[in-house]
Amino acid sequence: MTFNSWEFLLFYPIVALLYFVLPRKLKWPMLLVASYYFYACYQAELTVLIFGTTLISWIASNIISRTDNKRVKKLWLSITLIVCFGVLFFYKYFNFLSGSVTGVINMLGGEVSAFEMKLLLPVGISFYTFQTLSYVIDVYRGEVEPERNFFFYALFVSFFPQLVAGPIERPGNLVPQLKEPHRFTVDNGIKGGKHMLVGFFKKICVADLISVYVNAVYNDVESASAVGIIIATVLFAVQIYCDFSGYTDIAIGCARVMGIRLMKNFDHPYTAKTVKEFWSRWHISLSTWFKDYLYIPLGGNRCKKPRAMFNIFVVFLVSGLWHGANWTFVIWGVVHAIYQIIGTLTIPYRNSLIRRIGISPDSLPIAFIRRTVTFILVCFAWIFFRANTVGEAGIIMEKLFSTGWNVTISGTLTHMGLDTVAIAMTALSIITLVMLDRMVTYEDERDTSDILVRDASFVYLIWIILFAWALLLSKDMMSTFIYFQF
Amino acid sequence: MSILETPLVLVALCVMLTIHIATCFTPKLVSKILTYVNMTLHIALIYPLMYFQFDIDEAVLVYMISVFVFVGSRFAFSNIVKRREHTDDI
Repeated sequence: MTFNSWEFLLFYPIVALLYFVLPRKLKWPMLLVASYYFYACYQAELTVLIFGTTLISWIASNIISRTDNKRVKKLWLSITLIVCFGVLFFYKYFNFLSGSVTGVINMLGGEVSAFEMKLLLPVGISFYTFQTLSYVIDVYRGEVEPERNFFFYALFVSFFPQLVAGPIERPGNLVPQLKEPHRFTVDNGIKGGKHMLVGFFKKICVADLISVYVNAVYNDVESASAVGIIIATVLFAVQIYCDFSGYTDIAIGCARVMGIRLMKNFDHPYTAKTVKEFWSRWHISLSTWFKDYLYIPLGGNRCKKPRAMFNIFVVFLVSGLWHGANWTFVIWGVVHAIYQIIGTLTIPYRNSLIRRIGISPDSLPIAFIRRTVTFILVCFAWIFFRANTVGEAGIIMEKLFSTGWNVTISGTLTHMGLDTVAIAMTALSIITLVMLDRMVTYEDERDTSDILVRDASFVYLIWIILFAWALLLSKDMMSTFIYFQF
Repeated sequence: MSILETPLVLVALCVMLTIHIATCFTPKLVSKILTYVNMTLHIALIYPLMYFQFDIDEAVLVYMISVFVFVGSRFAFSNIVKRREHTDDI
């Protein structure tokens, strides 16, 4: 059951209604049942995995909190890490590792075939594993009191709006809110509904529309031209943002209607002036998770520069791997690591250059150049993220830097399926997205957000979105969200 | 047959877009009435679009233009709309 399905349109209102109607003691058990049902609709047989992860981590967190013996604490933390990462590695990386090792052996002259298992990748495993681990680690650090009620803890792990694709919530934020009985308020209803609508718009009216043109290039790179690759990559940057942030918006909206505030996961990432800033605006829950549980424990930037650069490299390497079991994701992570390292090392020289030119670093022309350069760098990295294999990524590089320029733009657009109507639709949807994104804020602080909250025509927007949705029904209504594969 | 060659659809679209922009400037009660009229127009437009079996991309484009003008008009005239609105939505 994905968010963009008729089943969810039936499921969610029932759950929300029950949440407000049921007495306090029954609210969270109902949410727990609903969350497991939501997950079972994807893969009923794999609910045992999320249950098992929840059980192990709950036992570990309670033992850790009840003992003063540091060895015992470390033992149970280690057990949790091994079990959770073990399950994650097995389901997600076993075939990848097997294929990679086999490839290396064959390269060295051996003749072995890869041992592969037919494994169903559990939906959301990367997300709920990290969420579980953050809980246990926070208990170990003494930052959070463990939850004594197993079933309540299970709700924290499996809360359905953010279960399969984040945001990766922290116990300090989500647990108190789940415990508090929320009453329906018009403000929450409208703001939650606003987030959901924008999310559906991003997913259905932008991401799904653009995906057709992106796939036309990336699923046939041999026939693609350099111009086509550039257009498709820029469109992919928009697609993945709309797909992922659209999901997050829907998740935030679903929770907000019930009075629960999930954390912000995106903050206009493509307005970033540096790659470092990009990562403070993109998939915020994951980047803060890596900062708090990997980067800082490794030493962060409070060590000598070579070690600090190494720490950055490790974090982005792991981040790339987290996204998928493919060398393209690893390369994508490494590219971002290189960006960060070079960016950090060259900050003094860049600032010095700007000062010598005599322009303020915060002036509009400099800000525009920095945003443009950052966007280009991020898009270049997206090539590896989107490419199906390393070989195809190599072909793309070759076309971009040598052989792919002997085509006309009109021929490229025709090859991608971009006729006049398609270009108009793509342009309109992206421009509308930009305006909508600026008007709708997560913190509801800016005055312009009042336009959609208070304006009578807000209801009107609902109808427009629904019609666009209905008309797009024939275009693969049940398309999945990109980040479900992680 | 293309939507761009169909006077009925073009006229309906022009009316809908005009109402989008007009609701930014009209008094609140008139704005609400116009909103409901426009909602009805949007619903009603579905039927000729389906009856004449227009290309689905062109049909979607009509609604996308409507969404674009709706959001754009509010974006462009945000200060005017904000000053005019004082109470909750309908």
